[in-house]
Amino acid sequence: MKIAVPAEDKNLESLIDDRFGRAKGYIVYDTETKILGWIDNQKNANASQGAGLKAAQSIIESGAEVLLSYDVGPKAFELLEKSGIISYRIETKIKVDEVIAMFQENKLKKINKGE
Amino acid sequence: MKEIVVLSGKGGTGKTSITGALAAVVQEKIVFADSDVDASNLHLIIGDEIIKKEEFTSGYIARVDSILCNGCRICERECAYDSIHVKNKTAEINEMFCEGCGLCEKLCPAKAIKMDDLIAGSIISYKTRFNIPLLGASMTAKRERSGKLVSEVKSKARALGAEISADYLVIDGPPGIGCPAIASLGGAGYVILVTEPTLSGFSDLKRVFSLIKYFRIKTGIIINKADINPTVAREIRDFADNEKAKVLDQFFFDSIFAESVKKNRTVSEATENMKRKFENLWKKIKEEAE
Amino acid sequence: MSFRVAIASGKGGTGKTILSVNLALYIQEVLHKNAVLVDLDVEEPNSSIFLKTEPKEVFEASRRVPKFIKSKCTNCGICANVCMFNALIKAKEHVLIYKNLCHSCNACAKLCPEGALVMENSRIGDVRVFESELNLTLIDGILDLKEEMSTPLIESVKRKSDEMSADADFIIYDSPPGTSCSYVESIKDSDLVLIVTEPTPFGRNDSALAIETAKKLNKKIKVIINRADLNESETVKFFSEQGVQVIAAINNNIKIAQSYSNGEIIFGKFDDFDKALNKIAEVIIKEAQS
Repeated sequence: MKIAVPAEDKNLESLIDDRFGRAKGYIVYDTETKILGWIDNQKNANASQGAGLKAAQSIIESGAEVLLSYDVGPKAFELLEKSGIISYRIETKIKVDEVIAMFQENKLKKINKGE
Repeated sequence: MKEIVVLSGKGGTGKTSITGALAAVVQEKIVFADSDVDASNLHLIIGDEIIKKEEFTSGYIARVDSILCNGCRICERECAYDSIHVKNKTAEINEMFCEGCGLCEKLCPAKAIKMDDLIAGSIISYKTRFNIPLLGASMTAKRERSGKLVSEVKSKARALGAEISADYLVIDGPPGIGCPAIASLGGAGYVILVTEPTLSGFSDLKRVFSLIKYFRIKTGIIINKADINPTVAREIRDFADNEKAKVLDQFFFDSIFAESVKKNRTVSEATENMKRKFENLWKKIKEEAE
Repeated sequence: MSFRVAIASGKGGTGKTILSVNLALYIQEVLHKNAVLVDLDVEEPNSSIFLKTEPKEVFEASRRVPKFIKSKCTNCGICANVCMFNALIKAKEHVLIYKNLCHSCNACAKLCPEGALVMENSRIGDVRVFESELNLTLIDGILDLKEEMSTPLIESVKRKSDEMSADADFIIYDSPPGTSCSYVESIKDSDLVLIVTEPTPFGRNDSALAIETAKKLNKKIKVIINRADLNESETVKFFSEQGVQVIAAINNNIKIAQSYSNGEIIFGKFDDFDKALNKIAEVIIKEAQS
């Protein structure tokens, strides 16, 4: 399955980005093929509004089924949910590979409604 | 961290005076934010030493390369905001009206228009006289909706609150019920509505109250200048009862409010009596906000 | 051609409405000229309270937003790409439209190669026309709760009032508080901007912002000090440093506040207030003639 994680840089050792809509970019990691994809979000950083929605759009198009994130706004959350993507909450700023491991070990809680 | 937002509907009821007076008496770890970004005033009475001023970019603005432009007027015709006018065969953008939609850039046959990042204002961190941090903002781009700037101020205030393990974030809000007021309400745990016993004030109170009801946030009411019209004050109290909103306190008209502002001070610093009144008010707010 | 005067302030609660209403009445009753009062504070319109009148006509106001026609869509994604406000999101085979983020720029409808997006009306509030027994026509707007943007409704109110003001010598715009987009929209077509302020640091701070913006719009600006005390030399000096003339000062009077609280007309009751109205009217007439 493909897992999306907002991140500060495009490798598994980089730290997660604690913003959703204005994150530097999103790592999309395929757990089966172990292939890493990167969605650059720089051009969204300056958006005056709707950044979360645009980010959600990119994540939907990447084919990700799961999102791991600190924080997701209500509109973006609703869009992701409608598109069949389940979001899990990250609580501390750790590395991407660490948070993916936590997800695979069922240590992360689902986000229930956007906050 | 509990977020408490102070709104009013009608302008001039005393939001900033009351918020400032509370800042002077709180004992807890706390952050204050001024989300009235159009007309920021809180720093004028609680202390305006600027620690940091960060530019805030948001949205875009169209810029014309006059060398490439041939004055064809396609942009002028298509601009929904009437912000482009061709003078001397060159398109000129009126920065007061351009909303940064980018349509002109995409339609220009000469590729003479580019969208630039817009510096919409600054986010300001203040040190106040009470050792409480204050986050505020100033807007330079006048056509940008202030809601985005409000959200950014709150975001920074929350981050600061998390850093210092603050118990409360108190936000001095804007008048009205439009986008900056709505943006101020996001994430609020409790709303304080400061009103005045005038027909205008009561009418505006009812409108902002309906808005808050939609967001389902617990609300308390403070009646300022209550003695100006005891009849309307009574109507407001009845309204509060019906709506199950608590009247937290009321203040009689007192020239000490304006006098304190004129000295760039809060009214809690004017007399012992006022200080105690606000200490009690803060206690009540904390209880209600639980 | 009607001479347009915008009564504005920056800070809320300085006395815009009390002045607009009474000035419009003064122009009609005392100067026997035709005046139309337009209340552009669409978030919290209050002028009708003072004219004790109900709307004679109500018109629905709307703004333009895109409508998605799925049958014509080829999933190219151009619309979502061009929207700078992120109001269109391409989600698999649908285009989702977030109306409250839309700025009505038309880019998506214009640039969709298949004509799968058309602009349609979306309700934002009402424009209301009132006749009062004092023979003064009032036009206002009232924004629907949860609508974030006032500017489209302010535009609609101005359009309606233009239609109805062919015979008017003067159009008085009661502007909303604030110094950004609704303020800009309210003053942009006026011939004269009168800033109503209070002689406090709050009043001066916010007036300076309002004046700065009015200057960028090349507006003629004058100031009125409300709630003045005996000595306002500091405030007068402040405005002269801004290069703006103070044309009248209305003294602080609790009886005026009480009368206002009951929604009463003020003119004809207080000498000091009437004298100020006279001075202001003189300035307006002089400006209209030049």
